[in-house]
Amino acid sequence: MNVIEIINLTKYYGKARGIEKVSFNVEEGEIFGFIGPNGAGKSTTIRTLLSLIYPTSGSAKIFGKDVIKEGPEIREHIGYLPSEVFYYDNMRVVDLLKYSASFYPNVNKNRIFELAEIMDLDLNKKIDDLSYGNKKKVGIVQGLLHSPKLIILDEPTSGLDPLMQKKFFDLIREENKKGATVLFSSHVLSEVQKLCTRVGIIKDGAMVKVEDIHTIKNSNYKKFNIEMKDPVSVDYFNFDGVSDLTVEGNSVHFIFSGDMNTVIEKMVERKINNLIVEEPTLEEIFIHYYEKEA
Amino acid sequence: MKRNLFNWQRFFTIIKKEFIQVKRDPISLRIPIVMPIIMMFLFGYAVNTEIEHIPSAVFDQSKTQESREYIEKFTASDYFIIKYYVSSEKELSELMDKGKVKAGLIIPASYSTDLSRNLIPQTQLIIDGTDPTTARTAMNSSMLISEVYSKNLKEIEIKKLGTSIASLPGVSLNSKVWYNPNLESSRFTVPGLVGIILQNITIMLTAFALVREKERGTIEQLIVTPIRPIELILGKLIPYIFIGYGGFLFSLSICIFWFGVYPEGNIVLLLVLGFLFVISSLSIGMLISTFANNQLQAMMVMIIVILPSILLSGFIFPMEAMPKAISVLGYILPVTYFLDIIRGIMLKGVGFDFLVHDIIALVLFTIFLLSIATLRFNKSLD
Repeated sequence: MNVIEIINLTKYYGKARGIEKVSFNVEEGEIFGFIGPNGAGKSTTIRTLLSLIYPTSGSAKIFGKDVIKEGPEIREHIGYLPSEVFYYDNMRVVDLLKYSASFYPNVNKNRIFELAEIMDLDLNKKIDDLSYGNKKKVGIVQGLLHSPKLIILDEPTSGLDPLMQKKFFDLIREENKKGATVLFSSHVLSEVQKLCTRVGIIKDGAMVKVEDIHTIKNSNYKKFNIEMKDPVSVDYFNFDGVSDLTVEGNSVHFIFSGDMNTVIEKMVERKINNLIVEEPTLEEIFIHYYEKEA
Repeated sequence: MKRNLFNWQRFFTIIKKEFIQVKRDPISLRIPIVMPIIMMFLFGYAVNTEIEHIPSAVFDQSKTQESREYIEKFTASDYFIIKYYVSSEKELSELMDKGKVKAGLIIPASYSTDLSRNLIPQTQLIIDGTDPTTARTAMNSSMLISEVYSKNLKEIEIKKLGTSIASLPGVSLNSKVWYNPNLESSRFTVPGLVGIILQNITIMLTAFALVREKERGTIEQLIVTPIRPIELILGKLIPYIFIGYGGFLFSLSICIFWFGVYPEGNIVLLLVLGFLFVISSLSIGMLISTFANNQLQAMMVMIIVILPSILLSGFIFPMEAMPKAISVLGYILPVTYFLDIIRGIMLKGVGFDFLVHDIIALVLFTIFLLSIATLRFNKSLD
């Protein structure tokens, strides 16, 4: 059964494009990754699902109900964590969370304390005194306190340190095991790879592909920045799996996907001064990915 | 199964939170107290259309007992206060340029001799026309003073001929002023102020409360919950109905107990219609919030609404004196009707029968504004 069904969803902000004919489904019980570079239309899609904005055309259903016509009923079962969190001044964390809880029927107030303990959140502090990361934790508790059937996360990890990110992912996995469906939007591929079962890729307001996570995982992209001891010719690093190759004197840059040993063997043959291997940006992966698809 | 369309628990949660926010926001809390005090005292005393003590100079070229008698008539009227006696027209002109005097009386050298020869002496009053209100008062009162003085002189001469002015044909007009017999400006201004203050407090607080939530992004957190727009709108607005109405009662108390303008008519009717006007002002505040994304924008839109409501509603300037096209604009402001109502009840003591047109207009405006504001606010939530 589909928890989310989006059909040809289009949103224009005046003449500016938000999203265009976006269609995809999220099945019950899955963790669906929604990935794309900044400005691709992830937040627009999510905000339309939550009735924060009206679509220009197309439709979206959650739990089989139209998001516009039956918004309030649907939202009883949705937990949402926005990319940026905003709160009222002068409120204690616990008061804010109790205030949020009062909008949902049958909330177990103990859940607030359980979640706060997991996320290591001090409930007695005033919101104004919290760091950005701690405010984010408040958002996480706020989004999960009513045990929602659908959890929508829009770039949820920004501001969380790695330890908290791990705790957060564990929490989401646990909710998922209990039956919650998750829509997880991010521009960090590795995050999505860790958590999701299926991934939808959006670019320039349009859905490019919906893939199984294994397919994406096999495309293990890494960005190499090598500083050689001596200059090297372009052909030296021009082998299978390499793309976007640039060689300027001693500096070599490329994106690689495939067996990592091939690159290491090549490097061992020459002396190198420095080596940086990093996660490519989504934009860089997508360029390569789309070229390959074409 | 269709769920309940209105959830009281969510509604009360919003009201409670809004009251807490107001309590923690010193400005929202002080406005209903401070604004009536400042505006009532400022307008109650400063807005005075009765102009007296116009600073004047006299260029008396005659310097005789008759000319001094003529000057005395001017000073005795209270309209003019003689600040300078000058010895040339140039000196008078300099004083006028510097703004030290607003009027200058010139008495010709031949004043006494003209009088003794039964000729009409030609005196002159130079008026600074920069401020038309002062100029008009100076012109009208000086003409009146001169006419009365001439009439007295004529009467003396006629008496010498053995007859009296009463035996000559003429019309005598006896005027009587109702509702405000002493023509006190404050009796006109202060009840009007109650209406203007009620309107301003309610519009300002409502618009700011709604825009602030939008500006801070906190409204999104409410929209993503199961709350329905009607619960949110009512819950957020009810505290401002209390505050706006509190401001109304406070300004009405100042009007009655400080300025001594007691209601001549039915106070209960005024209190009921005051409530209706709070709702209409609240709708305007709500409407403004749908046009503005932040408090600065809201402030600018508010000025566009509040300024015409002061200028065009008949609060200070009579609508009868405005060009037709401009006065029509006054009739699209609910405050215009409320000012008629409050002045009618407070000063004239008239009741429902006499105010029915204003009441109908206010009711229709309130329904119209509330519907438009709710629709637009609803849409902006979506």
